[in-house]
Amino acid sequence: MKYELLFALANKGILLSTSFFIILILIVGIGFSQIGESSEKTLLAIIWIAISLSSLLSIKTMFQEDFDDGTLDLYILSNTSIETIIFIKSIVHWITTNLPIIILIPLISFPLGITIYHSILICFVMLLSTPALSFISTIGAALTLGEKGGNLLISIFILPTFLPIIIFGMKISLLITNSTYDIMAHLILFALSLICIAITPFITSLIIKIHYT
Amino acid sequence: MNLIGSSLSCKRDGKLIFSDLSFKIKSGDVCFIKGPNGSGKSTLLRLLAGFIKVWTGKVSLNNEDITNRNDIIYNNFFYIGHSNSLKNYLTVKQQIDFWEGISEKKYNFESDSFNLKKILNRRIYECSEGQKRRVGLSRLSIDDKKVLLLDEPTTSLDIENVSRLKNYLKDHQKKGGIAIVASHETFISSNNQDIILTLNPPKNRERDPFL
Repeated sequence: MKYELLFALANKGILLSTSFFIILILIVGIGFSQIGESSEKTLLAIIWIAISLSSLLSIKTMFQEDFDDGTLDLYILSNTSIETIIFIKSIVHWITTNLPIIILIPLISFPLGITIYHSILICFVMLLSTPALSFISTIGAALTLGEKGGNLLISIFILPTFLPIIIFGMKISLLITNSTYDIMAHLILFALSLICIAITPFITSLIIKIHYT
Repeated sequence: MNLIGSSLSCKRDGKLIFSDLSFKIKSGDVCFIKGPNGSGKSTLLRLLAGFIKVWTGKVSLNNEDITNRNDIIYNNFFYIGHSNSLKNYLTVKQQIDFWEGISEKKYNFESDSFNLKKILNRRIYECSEGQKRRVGLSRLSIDDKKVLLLDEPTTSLDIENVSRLKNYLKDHQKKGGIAIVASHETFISSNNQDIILTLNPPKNRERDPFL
């Protein structure tokens, strides 16, 4: 785990994803401001879209680098199960791409008209739902292993599967800004997230094993 | 301990890489795989390491059929391929720590089979190719498995370090281990009883999959 973090940090994924996130928010925000539609609703939508796009950014390197330099061979031959390694890799991916963005959200949403209290609640929702994005993305990373220019392919495979998370996340965020509360929506979102965390390491490891044989 | 392969053949992307290959290796043997480029040396090693499925034939270890039994293979076989499995931004020390973490065993700095003490604090990207290979080979003495599968282990090593590798293999022989080495060079060990396995590309193959 320690070394996976080190590897991820050395790749400068944090800088990449956070700057991508900020730039995306700024550009789309400015675009919307021209048509006078820049309400907090559109801002929320932009945040959710931006966070799902940026979690796909550095996903390609997740297995590709290990595959190229032979570390993945080593993982497969070692006694540690490949599922555990995928789980650790997904957590590290989440820590290095989504977590910094979530920390940023109160900072950028306050000047744009969402109250601190609401943005912290939204952050909390994101904290619980975005791990699913990282975990789902590993499937795409495993599928495009050894494929050149697989990044676009990953987006095509994986973005549609983000939909449930985005739909429920968006719904809950809207409810929060209206100061209402819907326990069912919360439960469904967190259940989705937990299911993804529980299942995807097994799917991904299966794909990697098939890739090898 | 013995390792027997009987009439092995392997297909990759629908093409036959080698066929009807048989060998018998017993404790203390070093087996050299020879053959021209593209004759399937690496494929054979990867097949024995369990990365590639056996098409036909049988591999058995101690008279137990281990064809496509990856659980047994992983516990007894140790594979080092062309690549050294190194991360450029780690130091040699960190890289070894990382491997120690994976295999839960320690690199023996007392004997220091691959002479790494001097370059421990160097980053991998600062190392020469030969030094990288030495760091890659140091995995051998971290993880002490019975069957070693080495793919071109002497690439970019100087004479001194080739002899270190020889010494390591001799020690491994004495301990009753098996080593299977794909190499163009002959570094025959002391007892001159090494098995040499020559691979020839099948004649009916239309196209070389590695070109």
